[in-house]
Amino acid sequence: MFADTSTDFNSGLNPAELRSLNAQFDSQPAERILAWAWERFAGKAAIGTSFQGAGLVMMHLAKLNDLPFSIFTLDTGLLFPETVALKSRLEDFFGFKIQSLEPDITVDEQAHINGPELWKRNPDLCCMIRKVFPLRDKLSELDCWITGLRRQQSHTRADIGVVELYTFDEASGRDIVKLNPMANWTRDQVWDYLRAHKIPYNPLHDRGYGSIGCLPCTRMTTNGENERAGRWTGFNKVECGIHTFLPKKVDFQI
Amino acid sequence: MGFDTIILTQRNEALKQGNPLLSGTIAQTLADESAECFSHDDYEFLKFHGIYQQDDRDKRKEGKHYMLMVRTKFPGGVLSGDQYLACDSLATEYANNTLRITTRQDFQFHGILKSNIRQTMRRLNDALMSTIAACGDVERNVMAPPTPATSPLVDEVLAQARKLSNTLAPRTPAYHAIWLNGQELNLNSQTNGDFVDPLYGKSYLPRKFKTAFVIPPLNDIDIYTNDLGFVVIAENGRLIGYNLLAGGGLGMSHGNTLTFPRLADVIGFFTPEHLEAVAKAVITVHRDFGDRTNRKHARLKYVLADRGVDWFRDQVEQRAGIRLEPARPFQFTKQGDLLGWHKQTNGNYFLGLFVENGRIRDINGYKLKTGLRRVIEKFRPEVRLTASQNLLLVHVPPDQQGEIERILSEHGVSARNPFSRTRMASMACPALPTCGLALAESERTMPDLLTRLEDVLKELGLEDEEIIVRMTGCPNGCARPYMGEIALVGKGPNRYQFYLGGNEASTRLNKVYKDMVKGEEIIPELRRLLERFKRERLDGERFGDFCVRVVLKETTDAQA
Repeated sequence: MFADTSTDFNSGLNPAELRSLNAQFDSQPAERILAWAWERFAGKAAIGTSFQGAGLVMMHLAKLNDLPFSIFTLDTGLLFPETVALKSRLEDFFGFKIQSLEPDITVDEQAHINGPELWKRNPDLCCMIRKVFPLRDKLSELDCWITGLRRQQSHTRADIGVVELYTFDEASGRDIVKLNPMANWTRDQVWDYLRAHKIPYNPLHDRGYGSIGCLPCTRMTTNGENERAGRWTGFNKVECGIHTFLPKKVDFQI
Repeated sequence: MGFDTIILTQRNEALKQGNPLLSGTIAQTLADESAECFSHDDYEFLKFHGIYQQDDRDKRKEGKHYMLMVRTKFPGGVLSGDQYLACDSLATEYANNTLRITTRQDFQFHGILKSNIRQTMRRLNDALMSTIAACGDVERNVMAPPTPATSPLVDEVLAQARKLSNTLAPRTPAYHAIWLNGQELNLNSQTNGDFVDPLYGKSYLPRKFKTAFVIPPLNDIDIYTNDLGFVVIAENGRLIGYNLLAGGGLGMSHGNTLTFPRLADVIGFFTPEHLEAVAKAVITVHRDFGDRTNRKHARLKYVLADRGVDWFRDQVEQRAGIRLEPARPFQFTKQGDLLGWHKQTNGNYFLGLFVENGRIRDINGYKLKTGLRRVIEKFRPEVRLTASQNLLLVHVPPDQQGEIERILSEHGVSARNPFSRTRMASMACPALPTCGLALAESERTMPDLLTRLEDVLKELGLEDEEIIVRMTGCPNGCARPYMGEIALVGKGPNRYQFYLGGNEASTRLNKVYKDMVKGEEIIPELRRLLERFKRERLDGERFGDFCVRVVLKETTDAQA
């Protein structure tokens, strides 16, 4: 379907290279993958994180290996106070700034336009406004988006590649590399690492929260439940949309 | 999404089957003055009666301020002068003092309170206007070319359209009982309990259904966007038959690849006496094969897309009991209306007036609503509403032209339509604050957007170009955005999908150029494109054609 010789990839990655990189990276430590990204994309690569375990590990690995990626997070205006406080704690701990991406409109303005508590009626639209739009603006500056996705997190993430190529803009044909250096890490590995390096983490994890998103749409999980089972309970929804809104440019699953 | 959709679908289907009279508890709720709104179930039934329950979204923060939108059904967009005046009065007394011409040749009244709804409906019907099946899962308003331009063919086609509209109307007695007699239907009586509509059955259609006639070469009703289309084939000014078109429709849902805008397929040719049989055949194919498990995937277009034209032609032939001949050649040259004064074949004249976004209202220095009222009170011309949301005053004797112009100009309205070609070719849907589906602004922001576009065009020396611009607050397609040379489709507050590439004759779908564009980025983006258009266009090339040849071509190449 895609000619391996195609040169129309602004990221400079073609499907053949993508395939060999994935084969190579699958058995390589995350810091090696991050180092490759810095060498290849430098300031055009950035780490996006919501301060779950894997993002914190990546920040630490980047710091340790002198890979000065910029770091950004999505501040929806609906985060737990603990999450908001964690951002400052992390900035102090690592000694770098974390950019907060904010939606076009405040929660109040959203209530005015869409009615109060949109997340209770149409969580997809709420996530679109508060996460997907601001993320897309940020990604328009980047060639490589580094995430903390792990295959173990949920069935929707079980098949992710370490390197993926997405179409960012169908009109211009612009693409963007999505790098998931933590894809192979288990939850236990992440937590062992965080404890070993005494990295600040979200205290909500100690209170029974598995995956932590916005306050109104996150609940505690019980033992045996999937890590992301506490997200958008009651809706048939497991992804906010930031990892699904772009079409894959090269899909090895086809 | 899947889960929600299935629940919703079963609900709509269960509602229709459970109450084929479509009466719900509308009469009871009407009688209960303390009830501020209708129930969720009645919301669905009301649509079949031509009514949408809405709320003022500018006031949502304080709570829901319920109001009703009423849509009329005018086959071919025709109404008498008296009917127009009745609508004008209702708009003033009960609605928001505006009349809105829809893209399907109807009027919409916005902002009617529940306490005034029965009176509104009764007065519409007293003036021999109806709203039944203006909305809902049925055949809706039948469109036909409104321009009484140059041949007797137009009147003949219009008569066919009106006749067909009557034939296809649902037969439930509920409409008359509730709105005109003010009665509940006794569901226990056998006649009512066993009611089955002769055409639609117990469950009506899986989704809305749109029918239109068109007379080439003017594509003034945008024929390819309809579920069912009849292309008039004439020889020496005489109707000899129709080409059948089927499976068009524009609505889609963001992020749902099962849904997409689609142009109608050309199915075949038949002679005029089979019109009713063919129409019923197409409707019953939709009734029997449309996807009732998923409302987002329930239009006739998906039946065509899934099963193909040959299968569909077979079905129509079997049901209509005729063989369709190969389609006759036809061609469209442009969309839109003939505006200004034009002579009719009978020696009278018609005046086409541009109505921005179809909104007839009075604003400072431009009192279109009052001006029209004065003219129509005095001369009682027939009025026609167009698919491009404009208004025609027809059958005007030459000796009335001067006085009509004078009255209009007293109200700041010029019969010369002093607007840019681009503005006159453009449309926006109502969106905020009345439409419950709107994700972004449309009608309220479009006039200003066009002004800024006009400035850019002027700066570049392109002010004489006609560029068809369409804007909608959501992807459902009311202003037919996917046919525009430029289109903006709301995705969230101040965010739009940006489309390019429709054409002058409205025979080509446009394509997404950019996604999630912010409102303030639209004009800078258009300026870049228009600068390029000025440099690289071919002689006489339109912007939409240029976008397909150059801008979108690059996209396709980059994707290859």
